Amino acid sequence: MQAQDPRTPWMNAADESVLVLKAQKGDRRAFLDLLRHYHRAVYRLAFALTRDVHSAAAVTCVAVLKAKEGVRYIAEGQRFFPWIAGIVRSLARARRRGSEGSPRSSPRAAPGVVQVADRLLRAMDGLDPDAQAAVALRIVELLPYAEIDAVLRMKPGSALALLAEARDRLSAPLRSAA
Amino acid sequence: MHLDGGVESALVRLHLDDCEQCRLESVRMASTDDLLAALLTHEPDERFFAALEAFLEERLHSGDASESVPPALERVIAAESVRLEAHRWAAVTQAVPSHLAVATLADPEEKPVAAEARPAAREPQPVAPPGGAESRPKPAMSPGALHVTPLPAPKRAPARPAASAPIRPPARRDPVGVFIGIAVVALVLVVAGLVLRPRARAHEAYVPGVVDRVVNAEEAPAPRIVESPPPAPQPAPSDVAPPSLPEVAPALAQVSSPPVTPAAVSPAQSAASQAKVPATPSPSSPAAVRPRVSATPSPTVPHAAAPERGILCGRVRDESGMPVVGAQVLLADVRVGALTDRSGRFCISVPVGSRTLSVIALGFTTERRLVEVARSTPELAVTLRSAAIQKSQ
Repeated sequence: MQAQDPRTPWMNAADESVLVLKAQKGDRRAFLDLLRHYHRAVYRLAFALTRDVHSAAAVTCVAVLKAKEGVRYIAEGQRFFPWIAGIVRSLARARRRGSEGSPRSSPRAAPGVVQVADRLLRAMDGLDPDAQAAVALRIVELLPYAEIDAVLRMKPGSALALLAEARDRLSAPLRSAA
Repeated sequence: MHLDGGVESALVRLHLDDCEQCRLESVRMASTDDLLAALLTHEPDERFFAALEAFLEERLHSGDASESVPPALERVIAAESVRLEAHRWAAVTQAVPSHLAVATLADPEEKPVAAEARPAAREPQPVAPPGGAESRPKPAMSPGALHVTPLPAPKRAPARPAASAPIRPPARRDPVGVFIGIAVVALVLVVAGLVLRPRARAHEAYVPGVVDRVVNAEEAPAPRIVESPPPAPQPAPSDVAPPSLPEVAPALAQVSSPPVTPAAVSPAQSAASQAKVPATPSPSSPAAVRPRVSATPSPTVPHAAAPERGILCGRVRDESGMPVVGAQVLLADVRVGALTDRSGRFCISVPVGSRTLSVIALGFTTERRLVEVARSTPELAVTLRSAAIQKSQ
């Protein structure tokens, strides 16, 4: 299996650093340039964590506004996506916590397919938040392990172990479903 | 081992060539990833992101910090969500059958077991469909799909008749059980020491073996292991074996010092094996242990006899005689392995018997051979032949 490129490759570190510095000094254009580069990745992460179109859109909007307010707190040399991904993760977690028990939209699919999907999503819900984020970043965003470590603020190699454990737990109910 | 492109290397590919189980796991993982990707991915079109950008620009210029989603964006979301959901579920519908087909592939070394024997650990409760069909068996689905991976979990000993069954230790030397047993024995010894110390003082003499008798009094028919030998200044570890485990001691002693023909073992190997066996008191007095072990009639404890292990050492070189560093040495049938060190040497502890040894190293052809592992096996000499590596596209 060949390694795949990330869906949204991170911006060149030097260019990003310049944009972050400008945004910290109040340059709206620089902040918009940063967002234009990352907003798709932000939305995809939000959807993978909330699994609802409206929630994902709301989380994306709020995350962008919070990023605008908090961009001055980005440390020198810190990458932008791990920082905004942290905002998205906490917002998505709060959103899901608030919507627990609410009925999901009924998909137009065969009952067997819905059942398998439901098993998988329930298994995903059973993972801890870091593992859920690692799965989303790896499987949806196709981020390399080192970048997932950076987003989750973990030691190098932790994402690999976390994903191995998560995949093991995710595949168990599917095997029983088969 | 998970191979999704992130940790791929030539060594991993070589390993996959040899490991059917790993290949199957890789395929299963890829199909689970595909299904997850279909479920978790939602890619709106340009209109959505254009509306999002317009919203951001407006908020950035106006300085409005309210966290409500703008109506324009809501309209785009509402219009797009139905189409996107249909698209997403079409992808899921496409991914599910292939995933189920992969999931039903039988593991190469697995044996089918009954559904109730499957360990349910870490599995969420199955979702009951409206008709309650989950509780019924589904023979038409995939009868060979329920498998247990025979990884290191050792099999439990068969249950014995309860009527005549004396209390015996578990067949498997469970670390937790052993720890609890040791802790209980230590506690009993301490309590017995506290109780008996005043009596011993009253008699102004220490009676050897009193503690042993007190401990053994809880299990009246059990024979004493320590037969009050002449008081030794430093009792050997085997002499202070927990007296509450009388039936394990012979079996353990048998395992730790099996009848090895002295002529078949070199002195160095003999010393090494004695160093690895803590139950042997000292090399200078083997007779002190051997007669005890052989004189004790070995009771029939089939489940307590752990498989005898041997040490398999060897050296891996290339055709020019240089050591091969970092070569993978695998004994696939017992699922153990090692890497060679800087001098190309390796040592593996494995159960004795006939084993298939595989030596894998990047740039060399894989070497396989049948080796007979005894308790002390002479050092193996493995020579790897170089192989041309084709650059993968």
